[in-house]
Parts: sequence; structure tokens; C-alpha cells
Amino acid sequence: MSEVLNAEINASEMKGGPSRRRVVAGVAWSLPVIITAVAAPAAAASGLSVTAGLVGTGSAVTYLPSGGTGAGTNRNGSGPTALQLQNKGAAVNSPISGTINIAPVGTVAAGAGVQSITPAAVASSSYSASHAYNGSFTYTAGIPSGQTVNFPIQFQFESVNPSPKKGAVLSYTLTITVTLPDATTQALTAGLTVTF
Amino acid sequence: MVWRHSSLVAEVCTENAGRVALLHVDATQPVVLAGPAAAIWQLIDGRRGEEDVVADLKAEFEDRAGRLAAQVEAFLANLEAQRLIEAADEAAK
Repeated sequence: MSEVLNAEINASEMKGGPSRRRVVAGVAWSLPVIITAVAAPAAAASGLSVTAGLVGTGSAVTYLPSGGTGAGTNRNGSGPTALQLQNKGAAVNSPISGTINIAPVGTVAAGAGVQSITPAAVASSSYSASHAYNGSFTYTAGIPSGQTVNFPIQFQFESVNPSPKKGAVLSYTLTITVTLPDATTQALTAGLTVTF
Repeated sequence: MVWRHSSLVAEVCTENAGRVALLHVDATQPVVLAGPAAAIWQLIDGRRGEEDVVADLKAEFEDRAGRLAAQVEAFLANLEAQRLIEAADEAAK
């Protein structure tokens, strides 16, 4: 299991069971994160060595309306252009799956999502009441040993009524997790902006 | 917005609640919250609003960069996206 400690807590202070409030008092604030557990033993035994990455982070990208054609004009913004999987180990012949979360930074009037990530198939896409996007994807074609596969990301914006004020620039945090057939997971993050 | 822990999430935490492991019933892997993330989780009780949570955290942590409130809001949205928390008013329906 991987670890990311957000704050250092003096172990000696924990003895005697003080309250959490007392333990963390005076600790410097740091970015709160969700840590995904990784099945390290399975990874070591599987022979798989696939490295996931995001290509072109911060590039100019186009956001299509989520409601299909006619739901609104496209929007400009920034974000990565593709997900990339580099296979440096044994051939991958079983499905690769993952999740896509796009969390708003601050309060927003509309969300941002992923319309496609070809050649993977996107499923279970939804927006929450606070305009956070949640989706999943599956890639079944496999990756030969030594090969790299790019998955161009087509972003979308959430079609809502009323739409955000014209010219408003909304920010989001994109988190993509990639789970390999050996159950190991890699998490990738990047910032997104959409100009409405 | 008032948040509560999802009823579909199992939770295990250290004695002083500085580290929390969570598993959604539909998920295949647990997630872990530590430090500020665990502190936020402990403050989500179905009664405190986001402003109350931020105020409590500001009293407990030293926020020199002034980013605490925005980061807490983004983190709560992330927890919701992963279905670990839900709006308290929606849960009551």
C-alpha cells in the first residue's frame, strides 16, 4: 500500500490517546489527497510494466457540449491532450480499466467531463449536484510488449440551463486512475480550465 | 452544503483518527486519508456546513498560503465524485 503523509505528527504525542484536535494543532496545512492503495506484491509477480502518463498537460483543448449536437457551441480551454500507456514489460492481453474524476476548483455553475478517450470505451458518465464528473473506461485491445498506446482525450462541458456567465473561466482537477490486469493502479492528475 | 459519510462506505481509523482507510461497497480497492484529508473526513458529520468545516480546520492548521478553503472545497467534490460522501439533505430524502 502506497503512502502519502500530508502532515508530520509527532509519534510521542499520540501516546495516551490525546484527541485528534490536539495532535494536529500547529501542523502546517497541506493539500488533502485521496491515497489509492496499490497491490504491490501482485505487481512484482505479474511481469507487467506499464507506465501511465498524461500528454500535453496545459495544452489548448476544445470542450464539446455534453448534450450532443445542437446543445451549444464548443468551448475553449486547457488540459492534457491524451492519456499514454507505455508497456516496458510483458504483453498485456487482458482488459485495462480506469476511472475519471473531474472535481471543480471552487464553486462552479457547470462541470467538465470526458466525452471519449479512444480507443478505450467510456461508460457510467455522470455529473453530481456540485458539477463533479465521474466516469470509467475500459480498454480491451491489449498492448504488445515494448509498445506505446495513446488515448486522445476529447473533453466536454456540462450542458446546463442557465449556462455559466459568458467569458467565465472555470477550473477543475482531473484525476485518472488506470488499473492493469494485475490489479495495480496508477493515478494521474492535471489541471483543467474551460472558458464559457 | 452539508455533507455526511456515505452509508455504503466502510471505515477504519487509527486511535487518534490521523489516518483513515475507506472502502466503498462497489469499489475494488480501499483508499486512505491522512493528515489534513483525515481531519476533513472526521469533520464531516451530517451537521457541519462547509463553512464550519473550513473554520474548524483553520483553527487547527497553519494555512500560510491561504489556500485552505479552496482546497477543502475541491477535496469535498473529489470525495463526492468517488461516492465516499453525500449531501446530507439528499440523504434525508
